[in-house]
Amino acid sequence: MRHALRWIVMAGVWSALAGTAWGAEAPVPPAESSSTILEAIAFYAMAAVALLSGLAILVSRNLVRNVVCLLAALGAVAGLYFLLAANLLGAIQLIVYAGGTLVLITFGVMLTSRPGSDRQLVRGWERIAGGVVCVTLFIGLCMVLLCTEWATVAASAEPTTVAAVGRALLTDYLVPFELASVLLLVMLIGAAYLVRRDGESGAEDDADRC
Amino acid sequence: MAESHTRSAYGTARQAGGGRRSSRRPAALIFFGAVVAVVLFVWALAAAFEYVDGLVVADSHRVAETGEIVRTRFGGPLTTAEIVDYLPERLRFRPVSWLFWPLQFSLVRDAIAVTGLVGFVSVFTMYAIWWERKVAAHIQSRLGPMRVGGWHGWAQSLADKIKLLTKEDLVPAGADRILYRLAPYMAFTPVLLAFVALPFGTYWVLRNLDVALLFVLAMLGIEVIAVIVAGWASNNKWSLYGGMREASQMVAYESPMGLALLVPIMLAGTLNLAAIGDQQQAGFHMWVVFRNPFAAVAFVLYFVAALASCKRAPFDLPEAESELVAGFMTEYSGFRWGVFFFAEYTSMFVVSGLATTLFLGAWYSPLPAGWGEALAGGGVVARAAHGLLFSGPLWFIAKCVALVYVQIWLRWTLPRVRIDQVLYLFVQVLLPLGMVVLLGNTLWVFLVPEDGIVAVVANTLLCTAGVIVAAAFLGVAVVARARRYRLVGSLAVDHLPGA
Repeated sequence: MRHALRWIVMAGVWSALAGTAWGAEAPVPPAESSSTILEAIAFYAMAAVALLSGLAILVSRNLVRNVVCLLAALGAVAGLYFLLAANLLGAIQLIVYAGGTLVLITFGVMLTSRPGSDRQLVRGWERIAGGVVCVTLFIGLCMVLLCTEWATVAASAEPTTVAAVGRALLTDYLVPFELASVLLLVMLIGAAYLVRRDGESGAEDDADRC
Repeated sequence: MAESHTRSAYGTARQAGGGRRSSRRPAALIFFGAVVAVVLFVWALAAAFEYVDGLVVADSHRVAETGEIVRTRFGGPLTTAEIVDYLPERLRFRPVSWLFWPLQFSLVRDAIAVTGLVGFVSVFTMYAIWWERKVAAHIQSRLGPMRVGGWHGWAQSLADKIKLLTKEDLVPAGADRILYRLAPYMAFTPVLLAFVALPFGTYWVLRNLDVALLFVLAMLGIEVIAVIVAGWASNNKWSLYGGMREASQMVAYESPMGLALLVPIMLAGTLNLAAIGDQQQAGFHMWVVFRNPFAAVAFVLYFVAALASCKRAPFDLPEAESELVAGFMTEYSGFRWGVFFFAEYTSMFVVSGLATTLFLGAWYSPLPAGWGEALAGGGVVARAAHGLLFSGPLWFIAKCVALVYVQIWLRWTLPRVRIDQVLYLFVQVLLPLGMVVLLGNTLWVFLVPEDGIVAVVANTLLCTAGVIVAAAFLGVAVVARARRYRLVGSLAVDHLPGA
């Protein structure tokens, strides 16, 4: 069980890192307003925070510090989304990843780590697997960066994107949306099944622990 | 015997206090005078903003008509000479234009607004702490802080803050120094950021985000991480227990809270808090809480979850003074400890602000705003009257403060529940209730026409019930005040200074 949790934590950290890298390569909007300099400053500041804290996640071996760095990275990427007028994406990034997932990761770390074991133990084959993932990701990102023709049209900041996204989710993309919810439901039930021990009720167990 | 002793003490205290009474009155006057002055200053500043807006728009029209100069945006920034041209005859002086000139730049405006917000939050927090101590004391038949400042100890929090600033900033051995020092700011920053999207009035909002509600919720969620990090970094078992409790509690209360908040979103059809507030301007019967029975239940549901989100009793498990010393902030001292309290009281205001905006008519008074349209466009006095009677930030703040009072009141009334009871309550009671409320509201929206007889009957019933409950509450309060001697015996006599 602890093994699985460690994998979940690692997968979360890695995918968030990938998301960070992905988000950070968004181009600066060609702003024609008078606050171009301010936007540029904000962009570079937030990109720097995202990249540096991503790097810190790699360097630090302390999981709770990793979580805090991840929070900084996610916040900075959310800031980039806000800068690009993708308000909904930024808010969801903050609410789902920064507010929800991070707490779950921390919760997992706190419940599973024993004194002295809060450092990640990486075995040989895990290093190889991680290396393969890293190299693939790096090559893929470089290819995206090099092969894309960056559009320089003005960012079309629609006044409200929430309604448009909602409508699209419930009309054109209804089936993927429902499939995703079914997947989440399956995961929830699976998690509940996995942690359940026979002949024990959950409430008493919680009372013992806290 | 004890009675007569109290009597004599009462007599002497009265005589001794008689001389001080005259010195107490000015303190109270200064206190309320300062509040009024701040309100007037903010109104004047807002009027100046509006005036400069008018100038900029007028100038852009003039530029568009005459085609004098081609400028990039709004005809470019106005020069002081142009502002002098626009000023009315009596005010046509250079210094006056220097006053208005900076106000046309959004950066300056943001700086002023942010300064104002930080000031408001600081003062509110200070007085919320003082108020909490006074309410707690009066609930327990005490008087609370009475000395500092004279009038009911009004400067107590100020003195406490100075004390906290001068205390030593300790870091326990074996703590994670960086995270330990960082955690208080991680708690306070998100809560302050929530004010970016929280509207105090139709135009009194720093950024009118279309995802304002999600943004505020996200900020309230991030605050939790700070508590967990503080608990972990302190290298203290009590702190760690506090942090873990906060994490598990957060997992439990977020879902019912989200479900409850879906009800006003569904009724309003938007996530924009300013727009949701504006939909409730037609009098108190249009407040979301009175729109249908499910919305009323959703309000209660949200408020219970909000109590847990602010770590307030009966859900103050992360702190739990009688079990965990002080929970996640056991090891903190001085300024950092104070910052945690800042965060807690500010987040109380933020969740009350959300409840006010989403359920309780936002910044509108119970009177229909339509009645005051004539006043809104009038002179200074008429507009001030409009602000006091119909809508404005003062109404918003008053409603928020009332809800903060309810939170304080509940804290000193209800006993703390156990952590497993919290989890049980939120996951197995309130979560299903939230789903029922959501489904019921959906059916209500689709099946009951907005102006049908059912809606009218339900609205009338709910409003009547609300008015009766409010009147009964007021009546009980009056009767209790009249009979307070009989209720709590000799403890509640006003022989102590300032009573």
